[in-house]
Amino acid sequence: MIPAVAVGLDAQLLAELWSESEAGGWGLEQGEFNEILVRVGTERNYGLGALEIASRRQQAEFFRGLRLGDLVLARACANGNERGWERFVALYRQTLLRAAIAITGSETLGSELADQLYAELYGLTERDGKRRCPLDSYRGRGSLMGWLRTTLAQRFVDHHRRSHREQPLEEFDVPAPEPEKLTVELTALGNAIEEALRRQDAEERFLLAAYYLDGRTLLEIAKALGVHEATISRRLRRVTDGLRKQVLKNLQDAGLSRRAAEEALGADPRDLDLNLKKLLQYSQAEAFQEKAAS
Amino acid sequence: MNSTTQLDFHPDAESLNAFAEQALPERERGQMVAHLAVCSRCRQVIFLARQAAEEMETAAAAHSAGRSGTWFRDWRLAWIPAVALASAFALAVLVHVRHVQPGTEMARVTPQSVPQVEGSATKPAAKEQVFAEKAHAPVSHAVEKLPEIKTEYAPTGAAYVPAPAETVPPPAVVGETVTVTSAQPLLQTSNASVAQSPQMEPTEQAPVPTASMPQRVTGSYSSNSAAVYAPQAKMDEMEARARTSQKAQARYAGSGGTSAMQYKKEAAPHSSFDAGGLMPVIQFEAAPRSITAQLPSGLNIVSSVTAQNRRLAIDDAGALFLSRDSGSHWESVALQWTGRAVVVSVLPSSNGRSYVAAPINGATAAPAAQPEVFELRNDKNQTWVSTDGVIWTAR
Repeated sequence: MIPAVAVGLDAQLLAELWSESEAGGWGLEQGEFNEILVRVGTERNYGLGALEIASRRQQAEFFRGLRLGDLVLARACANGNERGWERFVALYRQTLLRAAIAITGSETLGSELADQLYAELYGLTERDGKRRCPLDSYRGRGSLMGWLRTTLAQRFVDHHRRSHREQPLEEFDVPAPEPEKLTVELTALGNAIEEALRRQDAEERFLLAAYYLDGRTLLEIAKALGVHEATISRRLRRVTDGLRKQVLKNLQDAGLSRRAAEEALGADPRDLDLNLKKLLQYSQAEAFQEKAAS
Repeated sequence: MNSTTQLDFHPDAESLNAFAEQALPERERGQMVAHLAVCSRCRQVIFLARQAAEEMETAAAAHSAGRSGTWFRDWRLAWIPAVALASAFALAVLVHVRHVQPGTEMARVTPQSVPQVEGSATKPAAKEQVFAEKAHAPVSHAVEKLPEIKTEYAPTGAAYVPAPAETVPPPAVVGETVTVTSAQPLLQTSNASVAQSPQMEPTEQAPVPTASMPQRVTGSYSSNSAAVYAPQAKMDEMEARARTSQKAQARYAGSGGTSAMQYKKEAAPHSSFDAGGLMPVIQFEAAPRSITAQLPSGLNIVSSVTAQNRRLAIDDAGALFLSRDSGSHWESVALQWTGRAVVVSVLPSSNGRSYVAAPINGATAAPAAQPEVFELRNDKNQTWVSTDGVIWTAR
């Protein structure tokens, strides 16, 4: 148990949160509840940057933004509280099944996926002789139902990727042209595009990848980002226009005239030795290398 | 970012869900977008979770809409008996109203036919309004004070009650004197003060209202504030009926009792409507107009009486008829007397109280006296009695 005063938390605030969340009804002592909150806050640094120190007001804002009711229920279930499980089953058992069916698009697969996750949630799996419950990883940011849906989606995507490893998506890509057919203009064009894509910021690359690679609709992307569909449309047009200008500029920087650069842009994309998927996702390793380093 | 099942690092479900639910702070959201831009797996997870959420929301909305829609479908069949029941109830009320309506008749007053009394120049419309405002208060009081005696209005003629402004006495007096007695000498009256005049006063200054129909006239107050003044045509009709029943009037003119005119004379000095006093409405429980036509003989009723849920009536020809359903159906009583029947009445009971023809609206019901004996008198002043109105024995 971590005393609230030891980490500079407002003990009165924690007491209020403990009372409001009705954690006592699920068998959680206030000390245990405080420990959970402190862990959540310190893991995320209360939503602040790594070097920032959260004030008590920022701490209070962070805690107030948590779904404390869901968090307490999840922790009660992880602790094996019987009343907590009764509540969980009553609230989420059926919705979990419906979400799994919606994700898999199949009632059979959905039922199987939901049952598998439910068994895992119930703690049937053990690691190092200790009962392990995924609900322990729920931190109250976002709803518990959303967490369950996302977990189901993760399991489904991972399962799909494992089972379809023999047929990677790259195999369906357009085969690269023969090296001897490449011209100087096409080489310059490939380099210019690669450079232009590298200059795009994260959200622009996300838009390009979701729209052109994943084939998501404007509406899906808009809902994922929480903006209007028209906003995504405008952003996409702006991104593509900017990309075109940047490619032209890169081509001219490479020594081509403006006319030659425009002619190069009219080349057949199949003649290009470019893998946009790899280009858009180039930075994945770099990003997580940076993350790991930090 | 937590490590998951894959070798690469991916955001955990907590962060992905928080991003999908717009619950991440701006700094962390930027990191998430940067990862999503390069990670097709996490993009797929985000879009699948979002798609599942939308499907569940749609299903929930459809379910709630379906539930609201099925409410009407579930109860749709119940509307049929409900409507049928309501229709039957409305029909029953309509039939009941039609059945009851002829039993009572509000006195209607034509102020044009009544000379203006000094100090009482209130317009009829104003009186109506005053009636509406004041009707409730005096009703119960007046009804309580009403004498229990109701008399038979033997002569045929139009029912008439003087205009309230000119003729109706204030409540303090009304309770004792408002009963309009007929000229019928055989009417039994109680010890209540019903003034009796030996004869009518045909030379009265004011127009003498005459009853156009045989009616049992009962002085009473009505809670109905909708008393209206009859149009002139109504008065003309009443007078015409009065002329047709002069014969019957002449027969009873000299036989005593308080005439309507006398009543008017007594009541007029007490008029106080303009002063905002209590406003009694004299209500007649009159024989329905259709009674005359309903009598098998088709003649006018010259005398009638009601007791023991039986109604006896004598027509112009002296024939006696009996009704067991308040006048809706009549049957002829076999002739068991000599001469021509003139008056039918009820003998007083042993306790000395009088019998009434019928109470108005049942509010002033006469005390039940058992047995009640009907009395029939012929034109030679001979009497016969009967307990059921069918078998008559000479007295």
